[in-house]
Amino acid sequence: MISGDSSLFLSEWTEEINHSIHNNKSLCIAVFSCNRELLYANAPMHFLLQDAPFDQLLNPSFDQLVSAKSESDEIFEGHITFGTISSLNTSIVAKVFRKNNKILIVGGADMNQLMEQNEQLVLLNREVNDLQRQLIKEKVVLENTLNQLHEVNNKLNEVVATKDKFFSIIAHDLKNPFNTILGLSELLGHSSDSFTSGQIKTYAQNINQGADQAYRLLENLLRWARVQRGLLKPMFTRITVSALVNEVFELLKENAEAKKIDLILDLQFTGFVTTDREMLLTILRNLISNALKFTHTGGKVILTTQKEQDRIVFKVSDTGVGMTREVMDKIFRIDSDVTQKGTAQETGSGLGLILSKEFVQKLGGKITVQSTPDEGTIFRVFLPLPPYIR
Amino acid sequence: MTIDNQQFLDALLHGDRTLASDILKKVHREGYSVEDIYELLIKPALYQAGVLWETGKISVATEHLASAVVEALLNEMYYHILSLNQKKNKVVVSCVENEFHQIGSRMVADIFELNGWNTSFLGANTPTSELIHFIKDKEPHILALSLTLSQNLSLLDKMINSIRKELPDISIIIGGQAFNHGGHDLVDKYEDVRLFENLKSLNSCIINNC
Repeated sequence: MISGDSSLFLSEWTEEINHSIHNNKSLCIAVFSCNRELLYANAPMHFLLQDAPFDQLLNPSFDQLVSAKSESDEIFEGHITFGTISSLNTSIVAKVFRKNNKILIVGGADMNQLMEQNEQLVLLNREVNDLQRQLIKEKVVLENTLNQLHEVNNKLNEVVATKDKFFSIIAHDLKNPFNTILGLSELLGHSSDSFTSGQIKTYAQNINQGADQAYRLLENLLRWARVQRGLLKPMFTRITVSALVNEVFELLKENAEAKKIDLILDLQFTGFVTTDREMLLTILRNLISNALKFTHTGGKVILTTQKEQDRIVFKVSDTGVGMTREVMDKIFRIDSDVTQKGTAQETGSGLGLILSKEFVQKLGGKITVQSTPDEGTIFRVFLPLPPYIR
Repeated sequence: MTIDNQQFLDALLHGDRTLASDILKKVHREGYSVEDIYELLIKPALYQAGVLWETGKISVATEHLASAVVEALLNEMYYHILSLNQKKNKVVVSCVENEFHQIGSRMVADIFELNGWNTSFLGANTPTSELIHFIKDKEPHILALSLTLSQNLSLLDKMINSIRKELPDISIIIGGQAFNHGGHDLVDKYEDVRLFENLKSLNSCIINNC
Protein backbone atom coordinates (compact mmCIF):
# COMPACT_ATOMS: atom_id res chain seq x y z
CA MET A 1 0.00 0.00 0.00
CA ILE A 2 1.37 3.44 -0.90
CA SER A 3 0.37 6.35 1.28
CA GLY A 4 0.88 10.11 0.83
CA ASP A 5 2.05 12.32 -1.99
CA SER A 6 5.75 11.74 -2.62
CA SER A 7 6.37 15.19 -4.17
CA LEU A 8 4.91 16.81 -1.09
CA PHE A 9 6.76 14.81 1.52
CA LEU A 10 9.97 13.75 -0.19
CA SER A 11 10.98 17.13 -1.69
CA GLU A 12 12.59 18.25 1.54
CA TRP A 13 14.69 15.02 1.67
CA THR A 14 16.30 15.32 -1.78
CA GLU A 15 19.86 15.33 -0.46
CA GLU A 16 19.29 12.33 1.83
CA ILE A 17 17.45 10.44 -0.90
CA ASN A 18 20.23 11.08 -3.43
CA HIS A 19 22.81 9.93 -0.89
CA SER A 20 20.80 6.80 -0.11
CA ILE A 21 20.26 6.02 -3.81
CA HIS A 22 23.96 6.33 -4.46
CA ASN A 23 24.87 4.04 -1.56
CA ASN A 24 21.89 1.71 -1.65
CA LYS A 25 22.70 -1.97 -2.18
CA SER A 26 19.39 -3.10 -3.68
CA LEU A 27 18.23 -0.15 -5.82
CA CYS A 28 19.98 -0.12 -9.18
CA ILE A 29 20.17 3.15 -11.06
CA ALA A 30 22.01 4.22 -14.23
CA VAL A 31 21.94 7.07 -16.72
CA PHE A 32 23.17 6.60 -20.31
CA SER A 33 23.45 8.96 -23.23
CA CYS A 34 21.61 7.67 -26.29
CA ASN A 35 24.90 7.64 -28.17
CA ARG A 36 26.18 4.80 -26.01
CA GLU A 37 27.86 6.49 -23.10
CA LEU A 38 27.38 5.49 -19.46
CA LEU A 39 27.00 8.78 -17.58
CA TYR A 40 26.21 7.46 -14.07
CA ALA A 41 25.70 4.16 -12.26
CA ASN A 42 25.43 3.54 -8.54
CA ALA A 43 27.32 0.64 -6.90
CA PRO A 44 24.81 -2.21 -7.45
CA MET A 45 24.25 -1.12 -11.06
CA HIS A 46 28.04 -1.10 -11.58
CA PHE A 47 28.06 -4.64 -10.24
CA LEU A 48 25.48 -5.66 -12.85
CA LEU A 49 27.04 -3.78 -15.76
CA GLN A 50 30.61 -4.78 -14.92
CA ASP A 51 33.16 -3.41 -17.41
CA ALA A 52 30.99 -3.75 -20.52
CA PRO A 53 27.75 -1.91 -19.78
CA PHE A 54 26.27 -2.14 -23.27
CA ASP A 55 27.08 -5.83 -23.67
CA GLN A 56 25.71 -6.66 -20.22
CA LEU A 57 22.24 -5.32 -21.03
CA LEU A 58 21.04 -8.63 -22.38
CA ASN A 59 17.28 -8.22 -22.58
CA PRO A 60 16.16 -5.72 -23.61
CA SER A 61 19.42 -4.60 -25.23
CA PHE A 62 20.60 -1.01 -25.12
CA ASP A 63 19.78 -0.59 -28.80
CA GLN A 64 16.25 -1.89 -28.25
CA LEU A 65 15.77 0.63 -25.44
CA VAL A 66 17.12 3.53 -27.54
CA SER A 67 14.83 2.70 -30.46
CA ALA A 68 11.75 1.86 -28.33
CA LYS A 69 8.60 3.69 -29.46
CA SER A 70 6.67 5.48 -26.73
CA GLU A 71 4.37 8.45 -26.37
CA SER A 72 5.69 9.32 -22.93
CA ASP A 73 9.14 9.45 -21.27
CA GLU A 74 8.62 5.96 -19.89
CA ILE A 75 9.81 3.58 -22.59
CA PHE A 76 9.93 0.26 -20.71
CA GLU A 77 8.62 -1.46 -17.60
CA GLY A 78 9.43 -5.05 -16.67
CA HIS A 79 12.33 -7.39 -16.06
CA ILE A 80 15.72 -6.33 -17.38
CA THR A 81 18.22 -9.15 -17.61
CA PHE A 82 21.92 -8.44 -17.22
CA GLY A 83 24.70 -10.72 -18.31
CA THR A 84 25.76 -12.51 -21.49
CA ILE A 85 24.47 -15.61 -23.22
CA SER A 86 27.45 -17.52 -21.88
CA SER A 87 27.25 -16.44 -18.24
CA LEU A 88 24.88 -16.66 -15.29
CA ASN A 89 22.31 -13.86 -15.66
CA THR A 90 20.46 -11.68 -13.18
CA SER A 91 17.17 -9.88 -13.60
CA ILE A 92 15.79 -6.81 -11.88
CA VAL A 93 12.36 -5.25 -12.10
CA ALA A 94 12.90 -1.81 -13.62
CA LYS A 95 11.49 1.16 -15.37
CA VAL A 96 13.35 2.87 -18.22
CA PHE A 97 12.83 6.51 -19.15
CA ARG A 98 14.13 8.47 -22.14
CA LYS A 99 14.44 12.23 -21.93
CA ASN A 100 16.77 14.83 -23.46
CA ASN A 101 18.61 12.18 -25.46
CA LYS A 102 19.37 10.29 -22.25
CA ILE A 103 18.22 6.96 -20.83
CA LEU A 104 17.46 6.42 -17.12
CA ILE A 105 17.18 2.89 -15.72
CA VAL A 106 15.77 2.51 -12.18
CA GLY A 107 15.04 -0.84 -10.67
CA GLY A 108 15.72 -3.46 -8.10
CA ALA A 109 14.81 -6.86 -6.84
CA ASP A 110 11.18 -7.97 -6.95
CA MET A 111 10.65 -8.57 -3.23
CA ASN A 112 7.47 -10.62 -3.63
CA GLN A 113 9.12 -12.86 -6.14
CA LEU A 114 12.21 -13.16 -3.96
CA MET A 115 10.18 -14.20 -0.95
CA GLU A 116 8.09 -16.67 -2.89
CA GLN A 117 11.12 -18.18 -4.57
CA ASN A 118 13.01 -18.29 -1.29
CA GLU A 119 10.18 -20.23 0.31
CA GLN A 120 9.94 -22.55 -2.66
CA LEU A 121 13.69 -23.16 -2.59
CA VAL A 122 13.62 -23.90 1.13
CA LEU A 123 10.82 -26.44 0.57
CA LEU A 124 12.62 -27.89 -2.43
CA ASN A 125 15.81 -28.19 -0.40
CA ARG A 126 13.90 -30.05 2.31
CA GLU A 127 12.44 -32.42 -0.25
CA VAL A 128 15.92 -33.07 -1.64
CA ASN A 129 17.20 -33.68 1.91
CA ASP A 130 14.39 -36.12 2.65
CA LEU A 131 15.10 -37.94 -0.60
CA GLN A 132 18.81 -38.04 0.17
CA ARG A 133 18.09 -39.55 3.60
CA GLN A 134 15.77 -42.10 2.04
CA LEU A 135 18.52 -43.04 -0.39
CA ILE A 136 21.11 -43.33 2.41
CA LYS A 137 18.70 -45.54 4.34
CA GLU A 138 18.09 -47.77 1.34
CA LYS A 139 21.84 -47.91 0.67
CA VAL A 140 22.55 -49.07 4.21
CA VAL A 141 19.80 -51.71 4.00
CA LEU A 142 21.21 -52.88 0.66
CA GLU A 143 24.75 -53.02 2.05
CA ASN A 144 23.49 -55.03 4.98
CA THR A 145 21.61 -57.42 2.69
CA LEU A 146 24.73 -57.77 0.57
CA ASN A 147 26.84 -58.58 3.64
CA GLN A 148 24.31 -61.20 4.70
CA LEU A 149 24.41 -62.67 1.21
CA HIS A 150 28.21 -62.82 1.34
CA GLU A 151 28.01 -64.51 4.71
CA VAL A 152 25.52 -67.10 3.45
CA ASN A 153 27.62 -67.57 0.33
CA ASN A 154 30.75 -68.17 2.42
CA LYS A 155 28.87 -70.68 4.55
CA LEU A 156 27.62 -72.43 1.43
CA ASN A 157 31.15 -72.60 0.05
CA GLU A 158 32.30 -74.06 3.33
CA VAL A 159 29.50 -76.63 3.26
CA VAL A 160 30.47 -77.62 -0.28
CA ALA A 161 34.16 -77.81 0.70
CA THR A 162 33.25 -79.88 3.76
CA LYS A 163 31.25 -82.29 1.65
CA ASP A 164 34.10 -82.54 -0.90
CA LYS A 165 36.61 -83.18 1.88
CA PHE A 166 34.38 -85.87 3.36
CA PHE A 167 34.09 -87.74 0.09
CA SER A 168 37.78 -87.27 -0.67
CA ILE A 169 38.74 -88.86 2.67
CA ILE A 170 36.38 -91.77 2.16
CA ALA A 171 37.52 -92.23 -1.44
CA HIS A 172 41.28 -92.09 -0.84
CA ASP A 173 42.53 -91.92 2.72
CA LEU A 174 40.17 -94.49 4.18
CA LYS A 175 40.45 -96.77 1.16
CA ASN A 176 44.28 -97.06 1.31
CA PRO A 177 44.60 -98.79 4.70
CA PHE A 178 41.81 -101.17 3.72
CA ASN A 179 43.74 -102.09 0.58
CA THR A 180 46.63 -103.11 2.82
CA ILE A 181 44.39 -104.98 5.25
CA LEU A 182 42.44 -106.79 2.52
CA GLY A 183 45.52 -107.61 0.42
CA LEU A 184 47.65 -108.98 3.26
CA SER A 185 44.80 -110.83 4.99
CA GLU A 186 43.88 -112.47 1.68
CA LEU A 187 47.52 -113.46 1.16
CA LEU A 188 47.71 -114.94 4.65
CA GLY A 189 44.37 -116.74 4.21
CA HIS A 190 45.39 -118.41 0.99
CA SER A 191 49.12 -119.01 1.39
CA SER A 192 49.99 -118.87 5.09
CA ASP A 193 51.52 -122.35 4.84
CA SER A 194 54.20 -121.08 2.50
CA PHE A 195 55.31 -118.20 4.78
CA THR A 196 57.79 -118.34 7.59
CA SER A 197 56.61 -117.35 11.04
CA GLY A 198 58.71 -114.17 10.71
CA GLN A 199 56.90 -113.20 7.49
CA ILE A 200 53.52 -113.97 9.03
CA LYS A 201 54.42 -111.75 11.99
CA THR A 202 55.44 -108.88 9.68
CA TYR A 203 52.22 -109.19 7.64
CA ALA A 204 50.12 -109.32 10.81
CA GLN A 205 51.90 -106.17 12.08
CA ASN A 206 51.22 -104.41 8.74
CA ILE A 207 47.55 -105.43 8.96
CA ASN A 208 47.43 -104.09 12.50
CA GLN A 209 49.04 -100.78 11.46
CA GLY A 210 46.60 -100.45 8.57
CA ALA A 211 43.64 -101.20 10.82
CA ASP A 212 44.95 -98.75 13.43
CA GLN A 213 45.40 -96.05 10.80
CA ALA A 214 41.90 -96.69 9.40
CA TYR A 215 40.39 -96.72 12.89
CA ARG A 216 42.00 -93.42 13.91
CA LEU A 217 40.96 -91.80 10.66
CA LEU A 218 37.44 -93.12 11.05
CA GLU A 219 37.36 -91.83 14.61
CA ASN A 220 38.44 -88.36 13.48
CA LEU A 221 36.01 -88.49 10.60
CA LEU A 222 33.07 -89.38 12.83
CA ARG A 223 33.95 -86.72 15.38
CA TRP A 224 34.35 -84.16 12.64
CA ALA A 225 31.00 -85.19 11.11
CA ARG A 226 29.38 -84.71 14.53
CA VAL A 227 30.97 -81.25 14.84
CA GLN A 228 29.67 -80.32 11.40
CA ARG A 229 26.17 -81.42 12.35
CA GLY A 230 26.36 -79.44 15.56
CA LEU A 231 26.00 -82.59 17.65
CA LEU A 232 29.31 -82.41 19.43
CA LYS A 233 29.13 -79.97 22.32
CA PRO A 234 32.06 -79.64 24.75
CA MET A 235 31.54 -81.16 28.20
CA PHE A 236 33.66 -79.10 30.55
CA THR A 237 35.20 -80.96 33.47
CA ARG A 238 38.15 -80.31 35.74
CA ILE A 239 41.09 -82.37 34.53
CA THR A 240 44.71 -82.75 35.57
CA VAL A 241 47.02 -81.63 32.82
CA SER A 242 49.86 -84.05 33.67
CA ALA A 243 47.53 -87.09 33.64
CA LEU A 244 46.05 -86.21 30.27
CA VAL A 245 49.41 -85.48 28.69
CA ASN A 246 50.83 -88.78 29.96
CA GLU A 247 47.87 -90.60 28.45
CA VAL A 248 48.63 -89.09 25.05
CA PHE A 249 52.28 -90.03 25.42
CA GLU A 250 51.39 -93.64 26.21
CA LEU A 251 49.24 -93.78 23.06
CA LEU A 252 51.99 -92.45 20.81
CA LYS A 253 55.10 -93.84 22.48
CA GLU A 254 55.30 -96.78 20.11
CA ASN A 255 55.01 -94.58 17.01
CA ALA A 256 57.92 -92.48 18.27
CA GLU A 257 60.00 -95.52 19.07
CA ALA A 258 59.30 -97.04 15.64
CA LYS A 259 60.82 -93.92 14.00
CA LYS A 260 63.51 -93.59 16.71
CA ILE A 261 62.26 -90.11 17.55
CA ASP A 262 62.94 -88.68 20.96
CA LEU A 263 59.48 -87.84 22.39
CA ILE A 264 60.05 -85.39 25.27
CA LEU A 265 57.59 -84.08 27.83
CA ASP A 266 58.36 -80.71 29.41
CA LEU A 267 55.67 -80.13 32.06
CA GLN A 268 56.11 -76.54 33.23
CA PHE A 269 52.44 -76.37 34.22
CA THR A 270 50.97 -79.34 36.04
CA GLY A 271 47.80 -77.93 37.51
CA PHE A 272 44.17 -78.27 36.53
CA VAL A 273 42.29 -77.07 33.50
CA THR A 274 38.55 -76.96 32.96
CA THR A 275 37.94 -78.29 29.49
CA ASP A 276 36.50 -81.16 27.43
CA ARG A 277 38.78 -84.12 28.07
CA GLU A 278 38.07 -85.99 24.82
CA MET A 279 38.48 -82.91 22.68
CA LEU A 280 41.79 -81.93 24.28
CA LEU A 281 42.98 -85.52 23.97
CA THR A 282 42.15 -85.51 20.25
CA ILE A 283 43.87 -82.15 19.74
CA LEU A 284 47.12 -83.23 21.43
CA ARG A 285 47.10 -86.68 19.80
CA ASN A 286 46.63 -85.15 16.35
CA LEU A 287 49.34 -82.54 16.88
CA ILE A 288 51.90 -85.03 18.22
CA SER A 289 51.02 -87.62 15.54
CA ASN A 290 51.51 -84.90 12.98
CA ALA A 291 54.88 -83.90 14.49
CA LEU A 292 56.06 -87.55 14.51
CA LYS A 293 54.92 -87.97 10.92
CA PHE A 294 57.00 -85.06 9.64
CA THR A 295 60.10 -85.62 11.76
CA HIS A 296 63.03 -87.68 10.50
CA THR A 297 64.43 -90.67 12.36
CA GLY A 298 66.67 -89.42 15.18
CA GLY A 299 64.74 -86.14 15.52
CA LYS A 300 62.90 -84.68 18.51
CA VAL A 301 59.26 -83.93 19.33
CA ILE A 302 58.67 -81.95 22.52
CA LEU A 303 55.38 -81.27 24.27
CA THR A 304 55.60 -78.35 26.67
CA THR A 305 52.87 -77.12 29.01
CA GLN A 306 53.12 -73.53 30.24
CA LYS A 307 50.96 -71.03 32.09
CA GLU A 308 50.74 -67.69 30.37
CA GLN A 309 48.67 -65.06 32.24
CA ASP A 310 45.09 -66.34 32.19
CA ARG A 311 45.64 -69.28 29.86
CA ILE A 312 47.51 -72.55 29.48
CA VAL A 313 49.70 -73.16 26.45
CA PHE A 314 50.33 -76.61 24.99
CA LYS A 315 53.37 -76.30 22.73
CA VAL A 316 54.18 -79.15 20.31
CA SER A 317 57.54 -78.52 18.65
CA ASP A 318 59.49 -80.77 16.33
CA THR A 319 62.77 -80.84 14.46
CA GLY A 320 61.03 -82.02 11.32
CA VAL A 321 60.76 -80.92 7.71
CA GLY A 322 58.84 -77.72 8.47
CA MET A 323 56.49 -75.88 6.15
CA THR A 324 56.52 -72.95 3.76
CA ARG A 325 54.29 -69.94 4.44
CA GLU A 326 52.02 -71.06 1.60
CA VAL A 327 51.46 -74.49 3.17
CA MET A 328 50.98 -72.96 6.64
CA ASP A 329 48.21 -70.73 5.27
CA LYS A 330 46.33 -73.79 4.04
CA ILE A 331 46.66 -76.44 6.73
CA PHE A 332 43.61 -75.34 8.73
CA ARG A 333 41.43 -74.67 5.70
CA ILE A 334 38.78 -77.14 4.72
CA ASP A 335 38.73 -75.93 1.10
CA SER A 336 42.42 -76.72 0.52
CA ASP A 337 43.68 -80.13 -0.39
CA VAL A 338 47.17 -79.79 1.00
CA THR A 339 48.35 -83.23 2.07
CA GLN A 340 51.93 -84.35 2.31
CA LYS A 341 53.46 -87.72 2.92
CA GLY A 342 55.47 -88.13 6.14
CA THR A 343 59.22 -88.74 6.35
CA ALA A 344 58.52 -92.52 6.35
CA GLN A 345 55.97 -92.17 3.55
CA GLU A 346 53.07 -92.06 6.05
CA THR A 347 49.86 -90.95 4.44
CA GLY A 348 47.27 -88.59 5.90
CA SER A 349 44.15 -86.66 5.07
CA GLY A 350 44.92 -83.34 6.77
CA LEU A 351 41.69 -83.81 8.68
CA GLY A 352 43.45 -84.04 12.06
CA LEU A 353 44.61 -80.42 12.00
CA ILE A 354 41.25 -79.12 10.77
CA LEU A 355 39.48 -81.04 13.50
CA SER A 356 41.99 -79.81 16.09
CA LYS A 357 41.33 -76.21 15.12
CA GLU A 358 37.55 -76.69 15.38
CA PHE A 359 37.90 -78.33 18.80
CA VAL A 360 40.22 -75.56 20.07
CA GLN A 361 37.62 -72.99 19.01
CA LYS A 362 34.87 -74.94 20.74
CA LEU A 363 36.97 -74.91 23.90
CA GLY A 364 37.26 -71.11 23.71
CA GLY A 365 40.93 -71.13 22.78
CA LYS A 366 43.11 -70.53 19.77
CA ILE A 367 45.74 -72.42 17.83
CA THR A 368 48.81 -70.97 16.11
CA VAL A 369 51.54 -72.40 13.93
CA GLN A 370 55.09 -71.28 13.37
CA SER A 371 57.40 -73.13 10.99
CA THR A 372 60.66 -72.94 9.08
CA PRO A 373 61.34 -75.35 6.21
CA ASP A 374 64.01 -77.95 7.12
CA GLU A 375 64.16 -76.73 10.72
CA GLY A 376 60.85 -77.68 12.26
CA THR A 377 57.40 -76.61 13.33
CA ILE A 378 55.78 -75.34 16.53
CA PHE A 379 52.04 -75.63 17.14
CA ARG A 380 50.68 -73.73 20.16
CA VAL A 381 47.25 -74.33 21.66
CA PHE A 382 46.04 -71.63 24.03
CA LEU A 383 43.18 -72.55 26.34
CA PRO A 384 41.60 -70.36 29.02
CA LEU A 385 42.37 -71.26 32.63
CA PRO A 386 39.63 -71.21 35.27
CA PRO A 387 39.59 -67.96 37.31
CA TYR A 388 40.88 -69.63 40.52
CA ILE A 389 44.08 -70.67 38.75
CA ARG A 390 44.68 -67.38 36.95
CA MET B 1 41.09 -31.41 19.86
CA THR B 2 39.18 -28.19 20.45
CA ILE B 3 36.25 -27.40 18.18
CA ASP B 4 36.70 -24.26 16.08
CA ASN B 5 33.15 -22.89 16.23
CA GLN B 6 34.02 -19.59 14.53
CA GLN B 7 35.55 -21.26 11.48
CA PHE B 8 32.52 -23.53 11.22
CA LEU B 9 30.10 -20.59 11.53
CA ASP B 10 32.00 -18.63 8.86
CA ALA B 11 31.79 -21.63 6.53
CA LEU B 12 28.02 -21.86 7.08
CA LEU B 13 27.43 -18.14 6.53
CA HIS B 14 29.43 -18.23 3.31
CA GLY B 15 27.62 -21.34 2.12
CA ASP B 16 30.96 -23.17 2.03
CA ARG B 17 29.61 -26.68 2.40
CA THR B 18 32.94 -28.33 1.59
CA LEU B 19 34.80 -26.51 4.37
CA ALA B 20 31.94 -27.06 6.85
CA SER B 21 31.88 -30.74 5.93
CA ASP B 22 35.66 -31.04 6.34
CA ILE B 23 35.45 -29.50 9.82
CA LEU B 24 32.63 -31.87 10.78
CA LYS B 25 34.43 -34.93 9.44
CA LYS B 26 37.63 -33.96 11.25
CA VAL B 27 35.77 -33.56 14.54
CA HIS B 28 34.07 -36.93 13.97
CA ARG B 29 37.42 -38.58 13.19
CA GLU B 30 38.82 -37.13 16.42
CA GLY B 31 36.30 -39.28 18.26
CA TYR B 32 33.46 -36.87 18.99
CA SER B 33 30.12 -38.69 19.05
CA VAL B 34 27.16 -37.68 16.91
CA GLU B 35 25.45 -36.05 19.91
CA ASP B 36 28.70 -34.17 20.74
CA ILE B 37 28.95 -32.89 17.19
CA TYR B 38 25.32 -31.77 17.25
CA GLU B 39 25.62 -30.21 20.68
CA LEU B 40 29.10 -28.69 20.53
CA LEU B 41 29.55 -27.83 16.85
CA ILE B 42 26.25 -27.45 15.03
CA LYS B 43 23.98 -26.07 17.76
CA PRO B 44 26.27 -23.19 18.83
CA ALA B 45 26.79 -22.21 15.18
CA LEU B 46 23.06 -22.13 14.50
CA TYR B 47 22.33 -20.21 17.72
CA GLN B 48 25.03 -17.70 16.76
CA ALA B 49 23.55 -17.37 13.25
CA GLY B 50 20.20 -16.67 14.95
CA VAL B 51 21.80 -13.93 17.05
CA LEU B 52 23.41 -12.39 13.98
CA TRP B 53 20.00 -12.36 12.26
CA GLU B 54 18.27 -10.90 15.32
CA THR B 55 20.82 -8.10 15.50
CA GLY B 56 20.52 -7.35 11.77
CA LYS B 57 24.06 -8.47 10.96
CA ILE B 58 22.93 -11.05 8.40
CA SER B 59 19.90 -11.34 6.14
CA VAL B 60 17.30 -14.05 6.37
CA ALA B 61 18.67 -15.37 3.06
CA THR B 62 22.08 -15.91 4.67
CA GLU B 63 20.43 -17.62 7.61
CA HIS B 64 18.56 -19.88 5.18
CA LEU B 65 21.81 -20.62 3.38
CA ALA B 66 23.49 -21.59 6.66
CA SER B 67 20.50 -23.79 7.52
CA ALA B 68 20.59 -25.46 4.10
CA VAL B 69 24.28 -26.28 4.56
CA VAL B 70 23.59 -27.69 8.04
CA GLU B 71 20.77 -29.89 6.72
CA ALA B 72 23.16 -31.24 4.09
CA LEU B 73 25.73 -31.93 6.84
CA LEU B 74 23.13 -33.73 8.95
CA ASN B 75 22.51 -35.95 5.93
CA GLU B 76 26.24 -36.68 5.79
CA MET B 77 26.06 -37.80 9.42
CA TYR B 78 22.95 -39.89 8.77
CA TYR B 79 25.07 -42.78 7.50
CA HIS B 80 26.65 -43.03 10.97
CA ILE B 81 23.28 -42.67 12.68
CA LEU B 82 21.28 -45.36 10.96
CA SER B 83 20.77 -48.35 13.15
CA LEU B 84 19.66 -51.61 11.60
CA ASN B 85 18.93 -53.03 15.03
CA GLN B 86 15.55 -51.40 15.27
CA LYS B 87 13.73 -51.53 18.60
CA LYS B 88 10.00 -51.66 18.94
CA ASN B 89 9.93 -48.16 20.46
CA LYS B 90 8.33 -45.53 18.27
CA VAL B 91 8.68 -41.76 18.36
CA VAL B 92 7.10 -38.99 16.31
CA VAL B 93 9.20 -35.84 16.07
CA SER B 94 7.66 -32.61 14.88
CA CYS B 95 7.83 -28.84 15.00
CA VAL B 96 5.02 -26.72 16.33
CA GLU B 97 2.51 -25.30 13.87
CA ASN B 98 3.95 -22.11 12.30
CA GLU B 99 7.45 -23.06 13.40
CA PHE B 100 9.63 -23.20 10.29
CA HIS B 101 12.95 -24.02 11.95
CA GLN B 102 13.25 -27.78 11.73
CA ILE B 103 16.94 -28.49 12.28
CA GLY B 104 16.56 -28.85 16.05
CA SER B 105 13.80 -31.40 15.61
CA ARG B 106 15.84 -33.17 12.93
CA MET B 107 18.69 -33.57 15.42
CA VAL B 108 16.26 -34.88 18.06
CA ALA B 109 14.94 -37.42 15.53
CA ASP B 110 18.52 -38.45 14.75
CA ILE B 111 19.31 -39.04 18.44
CA PHE B 112 16.29 -41.35 18.69
CA GLU B 113 17.25 -43.12 15.46
CA LEU B 114 20.82 -43.49 16.72
CA ASN B 115 19.39 -45.46 19.64
CA GLY B 116 17.45 -47.75 17.34
CA TRP B 117 14.03 -46.13 17.75
CA ASN B 118 11.51 -46.31 14.95
CA THR B 119 11.45 -42.58 14.19
CA SER B 120 8.90 -40.59 12.20
CA PHE B 121 10.07 -37.09 11.41
CA LEU B 122 7.34 -34.66 10.39
CA GLY B 123 9.47 -31.51 10.22
CA ALA B 124 8.51 -27.87 10.09
CA ASN B 125 5.09 -26.28 10.46
CA THR B 126 3.00 -29.37 11.11
CA PRO B 127 -0.68 -28.52 11.49
CA THR B 128 -1.93 -29.78 14.89
CA SER B 129 -4.92 -31.63 13.40
CA GLU B 130 -2.65 -33.54 11.00
CA LEU B 131 -0.19 -34.30 13.79
CA ILE B 132 -2.98 -35.76 15.96
CA HIS B 133 -4.23 -37.80 13.02
CA PHE B 134 -0.70 -39.10 12.39
CA ILE B 135 -0.14 -40.00 16.06
CA LYS B 136 -3.42 -41.94 16.18
CA ASP B 137 -2.28 -43.87 13.15
CA LYS B 138 1.31 -44.53 14.28
CA GLU B 139 0.68 -44.96 18.03
CA PRO B 140 4.15 -43.79 19.11
CA HIS B 141 5.49 -44.16 22.65
CA ILE B 142 6.73 -40.58 22.64
CA LEU B 143 5.86 -37.36 20.85
CA ALA B 144 8.82 -34.95 20.62
CA LEU B 145 8.04 -31.31 19.87
CA SER B 146 10.67 -28.73 19.01
CA LEU B 147 10.36 -24.97 19.33
CA THR B 148 12.94 -22.46 18.15
CA LEU B 149 11.19 -19.09 18.44
CA SER B 150 10.03 -18.10 21.93
CA GLN B 151 7.23 -16.09 20.25
CA ASN B 152 5.64 -19.44 19.45
CA LEU B 153 5.43 -20.62 23.09
CA SER B 154 1.71 -19.86 23.23
CA LEU B 155 1.22 -21.94 20.07
CA LEU B 156 3.03 -24.84 21.70
CA ASP B 157 0.79 -24.51 24.76
CA LYS B 158 -2.28 -24.57 22.52
CA MET B 159 -0.92 -27.52 20.59
CA ILE B 160 -0.19 -29.61 23.73
CA ASN B 161 -3.66 -28.76 25.02
CA SER B 162 -5.29 -30.00 21.81
CA ILE B 163 -3.16 -33.16 21.77
CA ARG B 164 -3.93 -33.91 25.43
CA LYS B 165 -7.67 -33.70 24.77
CA GLU B 166 -7.45 -36.30 22.02
CA LEU B 167 -4.53 -38.37 23.31
CA PRO B 168 -4.42 -38.08 27.12
CA ASP B 169 -1.85 -40.86 27.62
CA ILE B 170 0.91 -40.01 25.21
CA SER B 171 4.29 -38.98 26.65
CA ILE B 172 5.37 -35.62 25.31
CA ILE B 173 8.88 -34.25 25.37
CA ILE B 174 9.71 -30.69 24.39
CA GLY B 175 12.87 -28.73 23.76
CA GLY B 176 14.57 -26.19 21.56
CA GLN B 177 16.13 -22.76 21.51
CA ALA B 178 12.87 -21.12 22.63
CA PHE B 179 13.40 -22.48 26.16
CA ASN B 180 16.73 -20.73 26.62
CA HIS B 181 14.93 -17.69 27.96
CA GLY B 182 11.92 -19.15 29.75
CA GLY B 183 8.89 -21.24 28.97
CA HIS B 184 9.67 -23.69 31.77
CA ASP B 185 6.30 -23.03 33.45
CA LEU B 186 4.68 -24.73 30.47
CA VAL B 187 6.09 -28.07 31.64
CA ASP B 188 4.44 -27.74 35.06
CA LYS B 189 1.02 -27.24 33.49
CA TYR B 190 0.80 -30.71 32.04
CA GLU B 191 1.36 -34.21 33.28
CA ASP B 192 3.90 -36.36 31.47
CA VAL B 193 5.41 -33.45 29.58
CA ARG B 194 9.16 -33.23 29.99
CA LEU B 195 11.58 -30.54 28.90
CA PHE B 196 15.05 -31.49 27.70
CA GLU B 197 17.61 -28.72 27.81
CA ASN B 198 20.02 -30.39 25.42
CA LEU B 199 20.63 -33.44 23.28
CA LYS B 200 23.03 -34.99 25.80
CA SER B 201 20.36 -35.21 28.50
CA LEU B 202 17.89 -36.56 25.92
CA ASN B 203 20.38 -39.18 24.76
CA SER B 204 21.19 -40.41 28.27
CA CYS B 205 17.47 -40.56 29.03
CA ILE B 206 16.86 -42.70 25.93
CA ILE B 207 19.79 -44.98 26.80
CA ASN B 208 18.58 -45.42 30.39
CA ASN B 209 14.92 -45.90 29.41
CA CYS B 210 13.89 -43.10 31.73
